[in-house]
Amino acid sequence: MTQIRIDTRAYFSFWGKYLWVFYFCLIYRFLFETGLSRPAISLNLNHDRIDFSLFLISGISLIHLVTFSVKSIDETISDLRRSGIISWVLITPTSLHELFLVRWIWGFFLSITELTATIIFGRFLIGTPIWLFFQGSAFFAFFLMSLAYAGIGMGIAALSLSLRRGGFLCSVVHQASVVFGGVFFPTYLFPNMISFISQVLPITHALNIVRYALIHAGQSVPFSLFSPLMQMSLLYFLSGLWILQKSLCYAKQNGLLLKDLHE
Amino acid sequence: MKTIEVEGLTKVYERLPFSKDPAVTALKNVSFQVEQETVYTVLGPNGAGKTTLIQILAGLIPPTQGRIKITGIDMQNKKTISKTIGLFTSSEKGFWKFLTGWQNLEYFAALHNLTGRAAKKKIAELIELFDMASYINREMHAYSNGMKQRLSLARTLLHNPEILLLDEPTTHLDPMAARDFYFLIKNQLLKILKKTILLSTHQLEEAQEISDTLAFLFEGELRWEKPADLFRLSPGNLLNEYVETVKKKNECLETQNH
Repeated sequence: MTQIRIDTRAYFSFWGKYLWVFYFCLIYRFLFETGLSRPAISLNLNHDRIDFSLFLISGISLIHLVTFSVKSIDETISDLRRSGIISWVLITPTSLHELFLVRWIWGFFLSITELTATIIFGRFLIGTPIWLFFQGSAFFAFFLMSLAYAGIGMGIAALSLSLRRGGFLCSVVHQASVVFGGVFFPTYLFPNMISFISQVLPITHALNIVRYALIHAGQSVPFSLFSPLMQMSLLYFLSGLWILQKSLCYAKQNGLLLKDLHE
Repeated sequence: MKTIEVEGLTKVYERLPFSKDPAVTALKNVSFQVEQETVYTVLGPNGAGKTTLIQILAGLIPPTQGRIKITGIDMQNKKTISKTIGLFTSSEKGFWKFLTGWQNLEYFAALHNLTGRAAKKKIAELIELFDMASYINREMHAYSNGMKQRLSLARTLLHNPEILLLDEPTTHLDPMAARDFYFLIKNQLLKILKKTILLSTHQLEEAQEISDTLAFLFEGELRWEKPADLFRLSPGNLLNEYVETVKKKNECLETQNH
Protein backbone atom coordinates (compact mmCIF):
# COMPACT_ATOMS: atom_id res chain seq x y z
CA MET A 1 0.00 0.00 0.00
CA THR A 2 2.82 2.36 0.96
CA GLN A 3 4.64 1.50 -2.27
CA ILE A 4 1.52 2.31 -4.32
CA ARG A 5 1.31 5.63 -2.54
CA ILE A 6 4.99 6.36 -3.28
CA ASP A 7 4.57 5.32 -6.93
CA THR A 8 1.45 7.47 -7.32
CA ARG A 9 3.27 10.43 -5.82
CA ALA A 10 6.21 9.88 -8.19
CA TYR A 11 3.83 9.58 -11.13
CA PHE A 12 2.13 12.86 -10.34
CA SER A 13 5.48 14.59 -9.87
CA PHE A 14 5.85 14.32 -13.65
CA TRP A 15 2.74 16.44 -14.32
CA GLY A 16 4.95 19.38 -15.32
CA LYS A 17 6.61 17.35 -18.07
CA TYR A 18 3.26 16.38 -19.60
CA LEU A 19 2.22 20.01 -19.50
CA TRP A 20 5.41 21.03 -21.26
CA VAL A 21 4.87 18.44 -24.02
CA PHE A 22 1.41 19.89 -24.60
CA TYR A 23 2.84 23.37 -24.53
CA PHE A 24 5.48 22.62 -27.15
CA CYS A 25 2.89 20.94 -29.35
CA LEU A 26 0.89 24.15 -29.29
CA ILE A 27 3.99 26.23 -30.07
CA TYR A 28 4.87 23.97 -32.99
CA ARG A 29 1.31 24.21 -34.26
CA PHE A 30 1.42 27.96 -34.06
CA LEU A 31 4.84 28.26 -35.66
CA PHE A 32 3.72 25.91 -38.40
CA GLU A 33 0.69 28.11 -39.03
CA THR A 34 2.64 31.32 -39.14
CA GLY A 35 5.37 29.73 -41.24
CA LEU A 36 8.12 31.37 -39.17
CA SER A 37 7.82 34.44 -41.36
CA ARG A 38 7.18 37.14 -38.70
CA PRO A 39 3.72 37.94 -40.08
CA ALA A 40 1.13 40.12 -38.43
CA ILE A 41 -1.00 38.08 -36.04
CA SER A 42 -4.70 38.46 -35.51
CA LEU A 43 -5.64 39.08 -31.89
CA ASN A 44 -9.37 38.76 -32.37
CA LEU A 45 -9.67 42.21 -30.81
CA ASN A 46 -11.65 44.26 -33.30
CA HIS A 47 -9.73 42.30 -36.00
CA ASP A 48 -6.53 44.03 -34.98
CA ARG A 49 -3.28 42.55 -36.17
CA ILE A 50 0.06 42.83 -34.40
CA ASP A 51 3.62 42.19 -35.55
CA PHE A 52 4.86 38.78 -34.33
CA SER A 53 7.97 40.24 -32.66
CA LEU A 54 5.87 42.73 -30.65
CA PHE A 55 3.43 39.96 -29.81
CA LEU A 56 6.26 37.77 -28.51
CA ILE A 57 8.12 40.44 -26.53
CA SER A 58 4.93 41.69 -24.85
CA GLY A 59 4.13 38.10 -23.77
CA ILE A 60 7.60 37.30 -22.46
CA SER A 61 7.94 40.58 -20.59
CA LEU A 62 4.70 40.08 -18.64
CA ILE A 63 5.74 36.63 -17.45
CA HIS A 64 8.32 38.24 -15.12
CA LEU A 65 5.50 40.00 -13.28
CA VAL A 66 3.53 36.77 -12.93
CA THR A 67 6.48 34.91 -11.39
CA PHE A 68 7.16 37.48 -8.69
CA SER A 69 3.50 38.25 -7.90
CA VAL A 70 2.50 34.64 -7.35
CA LYS A 71 5.55 33.69 -5.30
CA SER A 72 6.26 36.79 -3.23
CA ILE A 73 3.90 36.13 -0.28
CA ASP A 74 4.51 32.38 -0.09
CA GLU A 75 8.27 32.92 -0.31
CA THR A 76 8.20 35.56 2.43
CA ILE A 77 6.42 33.19 4.83
CA SER A 78 8.62 30.24 3.82
CA ASP A 79 11.84 32.23 4.27
CA LEU A 80 10.75 33.44 7.70
CA ARG A 81 9.80 29.91 8.77
CA ARG A 82 12.87 28.23 7.29
CA SER A 83 15.24 30.72 8.90
CA GLY A 84 13.42 30.46 12.24
CA ILE A 85 12.95 34.23 12.30
CA ILE A 86 9.15 34.07 12.30
CA SER A 87 8.84 33.79 16.10
CA TRP A 88 11.00 36.91 16.49
CA VAL A 89 8.89 38.78 13.98
CA LEU A 90 5.59 37.78 15.58
CA ILE A 91 6.50 39.28 18.96
CA THR A 92 7.41 42.68 17.51
CA PRO A 93 4.88 45.45 16.80
CA THR A 94 5.58 44.96 13.06
CA SER A 95 2.85 42.86 11.46
CA LEU A 96 3.47 40.14 8.88
CA HIS A 97 1.35 42.13 6.42
CA GLU A 98 3.84 44.99 6.57
CA LEU A 99 6.62 42.57 5.63
CA PHE A 100 4.50 41.14 2.80
CA LEU A 101 3.87 44.63 1.47
CA VAL A 102 7.56 45.61 1.59
CA ARG A 103 8.55 42.37 -0.13
CA TRP A 104 5.82 42.82 -2.76
CA ILE A 105 6.86 46.41 -3.54
CA TRP A 106 10.52 45.36 -3.79
CA GLY A 107 9.59 42.39 -6.00
CA PHE A 108 7.41 44.61 -8.21
CA PHE A 109 10.32 47.00 -8.66
CA LEU A 110 12.71 44.15 -9.54
CA SER A 111 10.31 42.57 -12.00
CA ILE A 112 9.69 45.94 -13.69
CA THR A 113 13.46 46.16 -14.21
CA GLU A 114 13.41 42.63 -15.69
CA LEU A 115 10.48 43.61 -17.90
CA THR A 116 12.39 46.70 -19.06
CA ALA A 117 15.46 44.56 -19.79
CA THR A 118 13.33 42.21 -21.91
CA ILE A 119 11.97 45.15 -23.90
CA ILE A 120 15.50 46.52 -24.42
CA PHE A 121 16.80 43.08 -25.48
CA GLY A 122 13.82 42.85 -27.83
CA ARG A 123 14.93 46.12 -29.42
CA PHE A 124 18.47 44.89 -30.04
CA LEU A 125 17.69 41.30 -30.98
CA ILE A 126 14.52 41.49 -33.05
CA GLY A 127 14.06 45.20 -33.55
CA THR A 128 10.89 45.88 -31.51
CA PRO A 129 10.48 49.60 -30.75
CA ILE A 130 11.02 50.46 -27.07
CA TRP A 131 8.92 53.60 -26.84
CA LEU A 132 5.70 51.74 -27.68
CA PHE A 133 5.79 49.96 -24.31
CA PHE A 134 6.07 53.12 -22.23
CA GLN A 135 2.37 53.98 -22.11
CA GLY A 136 0.22 54.69 -19.08
CA SER A 137 -2.35 52.06 -20.02
CA ALA A 138 0.36 49.38 -20.28
CA PHE A 139 1.74 50.26 -16.84
CA PHE A 140 -1.75 50.25 -15.36
CA ALA A 141 -2.30 46.80 -16.84
CA PHE A 142 1.02 45.61 -15.33
CA PHE A 143 -0.09 46.88 -11.93
CA LEU A 144 -3.59 45.38 -12.08
CA MET A 145 -2.21 42.03 -13.23
CA SER A 146 0.37 41.98 -10.42
CA LEU A 147 -2.40 42.72 -7.93
CA ALA A 148 -4.54 39.86 -9.26
CA TYR A 149 -1.64 37.39 -9.16
CA ALA A 150 -0.70 38.61 -5.67
CA GLY A 151 -4.23 37.61 -4.65
CA ILE A 152 -3.73 34.14 -6.14
CA GLY A 153 -0.32 34.00 -4.42
CA MET A 154 -1.93 34.86 -1.07
CA GLY A 155 -4.43 32.03 -1.53
CA ILE A 156 -1.58 29.63 -2.24
CA ALA A 157 0.42 30.91 0.75
CA ALA A 158 -2.66 30.30 2.90
CA LEU A 159 -2.82 26.70 1.69
CA SER A 160 0.90 26.20 2.32
CA LEU A 161 0.39 27.34 5.91
CA SER A 162 -2.28 24.80 6.67
CA LEU A 163 -1.42 21.90 4.38
CA ARG A 164 2.35 22.50 4.33
CA ARG A 165 2.54 21.30 0.71
CA GLY A 166 0.88 24.11 -1.20
CA GLY A 167 4.08 25.61 -2.62
CA PHE A 168 4.01 23.64 -5.86
CA LEU A 169 0.74 25.42 -6.72
CA CYS A 170 2.81 28.55 -7.45
CA SER A 171 4.50 26.67 -10.29
CA VAL A 172 1.15 25.35 -11.51
CA VAL A 173 -0.30 28.87 -11.76
CA HIS A 174 2.87 30.19 -13.34
CA GLN A 175 3.05 27.48 -15.96
CA ALA A 176 -0.67 27.62 -16.66
CA SER A 177 -0.26 31.36 -17.27
CA VAL A 178 2.60 30.75 -19.68
CA VAL A 179 0.75 28.05 -21.58
CA PHE A 180 -2.85 29.27 -21.53
CA GLY A 181 -2.41 33.03 -21.07
CA GLY A 182 -1.66 33.89 -24.67
CA VAL A 183 2.03 34.53 -24.09
CA PHE A 184 3.32 32.75 -27.18
CA PHE A 185 0.17 32.32 -29.24
CA PRO A 186 -3.23 34.01 -29.42
CA THR A 187 -5.84 32.52 -27.12
CA TYR A 188 -8.42 32.09 -29.90
CA LEU A 189 -6.39 29.10 -31.10
CA PHE A 190 -7.44 27.16 -28.02
CA PRO A 191 -10.42 24.80 -27.97
CA ASN A 192 -13.43 26.01 -25.92
CA MET A 193 -12.53 24.07 -22.79
CA ILE A 194 -9.04 25.59 -22.60
CA SER A 195 -10.15 29.06 -23.57
CA PHE A 196 -12.21 29.04 -20.37
CA ILE A 197 -8.96 28.57 -18.40
CA SER A 198 -7.32 31.40 -20.30
CA GLN A 199 -10.27 33.69 -19.54
CA VAL A 200 -9.84 33.28 -15.78
CA LEU A 201 -6.11 34.04 -15.96
CA PRO A 202 -5.32 37.74 -15.39
CA ILE A 203 -2.38 37.63 -17.82
CA THR A 204 -4.75 37.00 -20.76
CA HIS A 205 -6.58 40.27 -20.12
CA ALA A 206 -3.40 42.19 -19.30
CA LEU A 207 -1.89 41.06 -22.61
CA ASN A 208 -5.03 42.13 -24.46
CA ILE A 209 -4.63 45.64 -23.02
CA VAL A 210 -0.88 45.85 -23.61
CA ARG A 211 -1.15 44.55 -27.18
CA TYR A 212 -4.04 46.88 -27.96
CA ALA A 213 -1.93 49.77 -26.63
CA LEU A 214 1.01 48.61 -28.79
CA ILE A 215 -1.15 48.52 -31.94
CA HIS A 216 -2.94 51.83 -31.27
CA ALA A 217 -0.02 53.79 -29.83
CA GLY A 218 -1.13 57.14 -28.46
CA GLN A 219 -4.83 56.22 -28.37
CA SER A 220 -6.68 55.41 -25.16
CA VAL A 221 -7.53 51.77 -24.50
CA PRO A 222 -11.30 51.16 -24.35
CA PHE A 223 -12.72 50.56 -20.87
CA SER A 224 -14.26 47.28 -22.03
CA LEU A 225 -10.71 45.84 -22.19
CA PHE A 226 -9.80 47.12 -18.72
CA SER A 227 -13.05 46.09 -17.08
CA PRO A 228 -12.45 42.27 -16.80
CA LEU A 229 -8.92 42.78 -15.46
CA MET A 230 -10.08 45.36 -12.92
CA GLN A 231 -12.85 43.07 -11.68
CA MET A 232 -10.47 40.13 -11.56
CA SER A 233 -7.82 42.10 -9.65
CA LEU A 234 -10.36 43.25 -7.10
CA LEU A 235 -11.88 39.80 -6.68
CA TYR A 236 -8.62 37.82 -6.56
CA PHE A 237 -6.82 40.31 -4.34
CA LEU A 238 -9.61 40.72 -1.78
CA SER A 239 -10.46 37.03 -1.62
CA GLY A 240 -6.74 36.13 -1.42
CA LEU A 241 -6.27 38.59 1.42
CA TRP A 242 -9.30 37.23 3.27
CA ILE A 243 -8.20 33.61 2.89
CA LEU A 244 -4.65 34.45 3.98
CA GLN A 245 -5.94 36.34 7.01
CA LYS A 246 -8.12 33.38 8.06
CA SER A 247 -5.30 30.95 7.46
CA LEU A 248 -2.81 33.02 9.47
CA CYS A 249 -5.25 33.14 12.39
CA TYR A 250 -5.74 29.36 12.18
CA ALA A 251 -1.99 28.73 11.91
CA LYS A 252 -1.30 31.00 14.86
CA GLN A 253 -4.02 29.32 16.92
CA ASN A 254 -2.45 25.90 16.35
CA GLY A 255 1.19 26.92 16.46
CA LEU A 256 1.68 25.97 12.78
CA LEU A 257 3.59 29.15 11.99
CA LEU A 258 6.27 28.27 14.49
CA LYS A 259 6.82 24.75 13.21
CA ASP A 260 9.94 24.01 11.23
CA LEU A 261 9.15 23.53 7.53
CA HIS A 262 11.23 20.36 7.47
CA GLU A 263 9.43 18.72 10.39
CA MET B 1 4.56 43.71 42.72
CA LYS B 2 3.31 40.89 40.49
CA THR B 3 4.79 41.19 36.99
CA ILE B 4 3.25 38.04 35.50
CA GLU B 5 -0.11 36.66 36.65
CA VAL B 6 -1.36 33.47 35.05
CA GLU B 7 -4.73 32.02 35.99
CA GLY B 8 -6.32 28.77 34.79
CA LEU B 9 -4.24 28.59 31.61
CA THR B 10 -5.21 25.76 29.26
CA LYS B 11 -3.98 25.09 25.75
CA VAL B 12 -5.43 22.48 23.42
CA TYR B 13 -3.89 21.94 19.99
CA GLU B 14 -6.77 20.91 17.75
CA ARG B 15 -6.58 17.96 15.40
CA LEU B 16 -5.45 19.36 12.06
CA PRO B 17 -7.32 18.62 8.85
CA PHE B 18 -5.83 15.66 6.93
CA SER B 19 -3.73 14.73 9.97
CA LYS B 20 -3.81 11.46 11.89
CA ASP B 21 -2.49 13.11 15.06
CA PRO B 22 -5.21 13.54 17.71
CA ALA B 23 -5.90 16.79 19.56
CA VAL B 24 -3.30 17.44 22.28
CA THR B 25 -3.81 19.21 25.59
CA ALA B 26 -0.46 20.90 26.16
CA LEU B 27 -1.41 22.85 29.29
CA LYS B 28 -4.07 22.06 31.90
CA ASN B 29 -5.32 24.79 34.21
CA VAL B 30 -1.91 26.30 34.98
CA SER B 31 -1.82 29.16 37.49
CA PHE B 32 1.16 31.01 38.95
CA GLN B 33 2.54 34.48 39.65
CA VAL B 34 5.98 35.98 39.14
CA GLU B 35 7.24 38.83 41.32
CA GLN B 36 9.09 41.82 39.87
CA GLU B 37 12.89 41.48 39.41
CA THR B 38 12.91 37.79 40.29
CA VAL B 39 13.75 34.62 38.38
CA TYR B 40 10.95 32.07 38.05
CA THR B 41 12.20 28.80 36.62
CA VAL B 42 9.98 26.16 35.07
CA LEU B 43 11.44 22.66 35.12
CA GLY B 44 10.06 19.54 33.55
CA PRO B 45 10.83 16.73 31.12
CA ASN B 46 10.53 17.07 27.34
CA GLY B 47 6.92 17.50 26.21
CA ALA B 48 5.81 18.84 29.60
CA GLY B 49 4.43 22.05 28.06
CA LYS B 50 7.25 24.47 28.95
CA THR B 51 7.70 25.83 25.41
CA THR B 52 3.94 26.15 24.92
CA LEU B 53 3.72 28.12 28.16
CA ILE B 54 6.47 30.50 27.04
CA GLN B 55 5.00 30.86 23.55
CA ILE B 56 1.63 31.80 25.05
CA LEU B 57 3.22 34.31 27.42
CA ALA B 58 5.10 35.84 24.47
CA GLY B 59 1.85 36.16 22.54
CA LEU B 60 2.98 33.78 19.80
CA ILE B 61 0.00 31.47 20.25
CA PRO B 62 -3.29 32.22 21.97
CA PRO B 63 -4.43 30.18 24.97
CA THR B 64 -7.58 28.04 24.72
CA GLN B 65 -8.68 29.14 28.18
CA GLY B 66 -7.38 31.22 31.06
CA ARG B 67 -6.25 34.73 31.85
CA ILE B 68 -2.80 36.29 31.70
CA LYS B 69 -1.82 39.68 33.04
CA ILE B 70 1.55 41.21 32.25
CA THR B 71 2.47 44.12 34.54
CA GLY B 72 -1.21 44.32 35.42
CA ILE B 73 -2.31 44.64 31.78
CA ASP B 74 -4.45 42.00 30.12
CA MET B 75 -2.49 39.92 27.59
CA GLN B 76 -4.95 40.76 24.79
CA ASN B 77 -3.42 44.23 24.50
CA LYS B 78 -0.76 43.09 22.01
CA LYS B 79 1.00 46.39 21.41
CA THR B 80 1.73 46.97 25.10
CA ILE B 81 2.76 43.36 25.59
CA SER B 82 5.26 43.41 22.71
CA LYS B 83 6.98 46.37 24.37
CA THR B 84 7.11 44.67 27.77
CA ILE B 85 8.21 41.16 26.80
CA GLY B 86 11.47 39.90 25.35
CA LEU B 87 11.65 36.33 24.09
CA PHE B 88 14.76 34.22 23.94
CA THR B 89 14.63 30.76 22.41
CA SER B 90 17.60 28.51 22.08
CA SER B 91 17.83 27.80 18.41
CA GLU B 92 20.69 27.53 15.98
CA LYS B 93 18.45 29.36 13.53
CA GLY B 94 16.72 32.71 13.90
CA PHE B 95 19.17 35.02 12.13
CA TRP B 96 19.78 36.03 8.53
CA LYS B 97 22.97 34.09 7.83
CA PHE B 98 24.16 36.36 5.04
CA LEU B 99 24.11 39.45 7.30
CA THR B 100 26.64 40.41 9.97
CA GLY B 101 25.71 40.39 13.65
CA TRP B 102 25.36 44.18 13.59
CA GLN B 103 23.12 44.13 10.51
CA ASN B 104 20.95 41.44 12.12
CA LEU B 105 20.53 43.58 15.21
CA GLU B 106 19.63 46.58 13.02
CA TYR B 107 16.98 44.46 11.23
CA PHE B 108 15.36 43.32 14.49
CA ALA B 109 15.59 46.82 15.95
CA ALA B 110 13.67 48.10 12.91
CA LEU B 111 10.96 45.49 13.56
CA HIS B 112 10.63 47.08 17.01
CA ASN B 113 10.33 50.49 15.29
CA LEU B 114 13.80 51.44 16.53
CA THR B 115 15.76 53.04 13.71
CA GLY B 116 18.50 55.58 13.00
CA ARG B 117 20.67 56.97 15.78
CA ALA B 118 18.55 55.51 18.57
CA ALA B 119 19.01 52.00 17.12
CA LYS B 120 22.76 52.45 16.64
CA LYS B 121 23.15 53.72 20.21
CA LYS B 122 21.18 50.82 21.67
CA ILE B 123 23.08 48.23 19.61
CA ALA B 124 26.44 49.72 20.65
CA GLU B 125 25.35 49.56 24.30
CA LEU B 126 24.40 45.90 24.03
CA ILE B 127 27.60 44.99 22.18
CA GLU B 128 29.56 46.49 25.05
CA LEU B 129 27.40 44.83 27.68
CA PHE B 130 27.80 41.36 26.19
CA ASP B 131 31.39 41.87 25.00
CA MET B 132 30.69 41.14 21.32
CA ALA B 133 32.83 43.84 19.67
CA SER B 134 35.43 41.39 18.31
CA TYR B 135 32.95 39.49 16.11
CA ILE B 136 29.92 41.76 15.60
CA ASN B 137 30.94 42.68 12.04
CA ARG B 138 31.41 39.07 10.95
CA GLU B 139 28.74 37.33 8.86
CA MET B 140 26.45 35.10 10.91
CA HIS B 141 27.49 31.80 9.36
CA ALA B 142 30.93 32.24 10.99
CA TYR B 143 29.43 32.46 14.50
CA SER B 144 29.82 29.71 17.11
CA ASN B 145 26.79 28.66 19.16
CA GLY B 146 28.04 30.67 22.14
CA MET B 147 28.36 33.81 20.00
CA LYS B 148 24.88 33.25 18.60
CA GLN B 149 23.45 32.93 22.12
CA ARG B 150 24.99 36.25 23.15
CA LEU B 151 23.74 37.95 20.01
CA SER B 152 20.34 36.42 20.57
CA LEU B 153 20.27 37.77 24.10
CA ALA B 154 21.25 41.22 22.79
CA ARG B 155 18.38 40.98 20.28
CA THR B 156 15.98 40.14 23.12
CA LEU B 157 16.99 43.34 24.91
CA LEU B 158 16.83 45.70 21.89
CA HIS B 159 13.47 47.19 22.88
CA ASN B 160 14.40 47.21 26.58
CA PRO B 161 11.67 44.82 27.77
CA GLU B 162 10.80 44.55 31.44
CA ILE B 163 10.23 40.78 31.32
CA LEU B 164 12.46 38.19 29.70
CA LEU B 165 11.18 34.78 28.69
CA LEU B 166 14.10 32.40 28.24
CA ASP B 167 13.19 29.05 26.70
CA GLU B 168 15.92 26.45 27.35
CA PRO B 169 18.66 29.01 26.68
CA THR B 170 21.61 26.62 27.01
CA THR B 171 20.39 23.67 24.89
CA HIS B 172 23.04 23.97 22.17
CA LEU B 173 25.89 25.00 24.47
CA ASP B 174 28.72 22.93 25.96
CA PRO B 175 28.87 22.88 29.80
CA MET B 176 31.44 25.69 29.99
CA ALA B 177 29.51 27.94 27.61
CA ALA B 178 26.29 27.12 29.48
CA ARG B 179 27.91 28.11 32.77
CA ASP B 180 29.13 31.39 31.21
CA PHE B 181 25.64 32.04 29.92
CA TYR B 182 24.11 31.63 33.38
CA PHE B 183 26.73 34.00 34.80
CA LEU B 184 25.66 36.45 32.11
CA ILE B 185 22.02 36.14 33.21
CA LYS B 186 22.94 36.51 36.87
CA ASN B 187 25.37 39.41 36.52
CA GLN B 188 24.09 41.44 33.58
CA LEU B 189 20.37 40.79 33.39
CA LEU B 190 19.59 40.56 37.08
CA LYS B 191 22.13 42.74 38.85
CA ILE B 192 22.66 45.49 36.24
CA LEU B 193 19.47 45.56 34.16
CA LYS B 194 17.09 44.37 36.93
CA LYS B 195 14.83 42.30 34.68
CA THR B 196 12.08 39.89 35.65
CA ILE B 197 12.91 36.49 34.17
CA LEU B 198 10.83 33.43 33.40
CA LEU B 199 13.17 30.63 32.48
CA SER B 200 12.62 27.07 31.30
CA THR B 201 15.55 24.69 31.52
CA HIS B 202 16.84 21.18 32.10
CA GLN B 203 19.97 22.42 33.94
CA LEU B 204 19.00 21.79 37.57
CA GLU B 205 22.19 23.02 39.18
CA GLU B 206 22.19 26.38 37.42
CA ALA B 207 18.43 26.72 37.87
CA GLN B 208 18.61 26.44 41.65
CA GLU B 209 21.58 28.79 41.72
CA ILE B 210 20.04 31.75 39.90
CA SER B 211 16.29 31.26 40.55
CA ASP B 212 14.04 32.69 43.22
CA THR B 213 11.21 30.25 42.59
CA LEU B 214 11.24 26.80 41.02
CA ALA B 215 8.17 25.20 39.47
CA PHE B 216 7.70 21.76 38.01
CA LEU B 217 5.55 21.28 34.93
CA PHE B 218 4.65 17.74 33.94
CA GLU B 219 2.16 16.62 31.31
CA GLY B 220 0.78 20.13 31.09
CA GLU B 221 0.11 20.44 34.82
CA LEU B 222 1.99 22.54 37.33
CA ARG B 223 2.88 19.86 39.91
CA TRP B 224 4.71 22.01 42.44
CA GLU B 225 6.12 25.47 43.03
CA LYS B 226 8.78 26.02 45.70
CA PRO B 227 11.31 28.70 46.72
CA ALA B 228 14.77 27.89 45.29
CA ASP B 229 16.34 28.56 48.72
CA LEU B 230 14.84 25.29 49.90
CA PHE B 231 17.02 23.34 47.47
CA ARG B 232 20.14 25.48 47.75
CA LEU B 233 20.62 24.42 51.39
CA SER B 234 20.79 20.71 50.54
CA PRO B 235 22.34 19.98 47.15
CA GLY B 236 20.90 16.97 45.35
CA ASN B 237 17.40 17.52 46.74
CA LEU B 238 16.16 19.11 43.54
CA LEU B 239 17.17 16.12 41.44
CA ASN B 240 15.44 13.80 43.95
CA GLU B 241 12.28 15.90 43.87
CA TYR B 242 12.39 15.93 40.04
CA VAL B 243 12.75 12.15 39.80
CA GLU B 244 10.13 11.50 42.47
CA THR B 245 7.51 13.62 40.68
CA VAL B 246 8.04 11.81 37.37
CA LYS B 247 8.19 8.41 39.12
CA LYS B 248 4.95 8.98 41.01
CA LYS B 249 3.08 9.57 37.77
CA ASN B 250 4.62 6.49 36.13
CA GLU B 251 3.67 4.32 39.15
CA CYS B 252 0.08 5.60 38.98
CA LEU B 253 -0.06 4.65 35.30
CA GLU B 254 1.36 1.17 35.98
CA THR B 255 -1.23 0.56 38.74
CA GLN B 256 -4.01 1.66 36.39
CA ASN B 257 -2.72 -0.72 33.68
CA HIS B 258 -2.61 -3.68 36.09
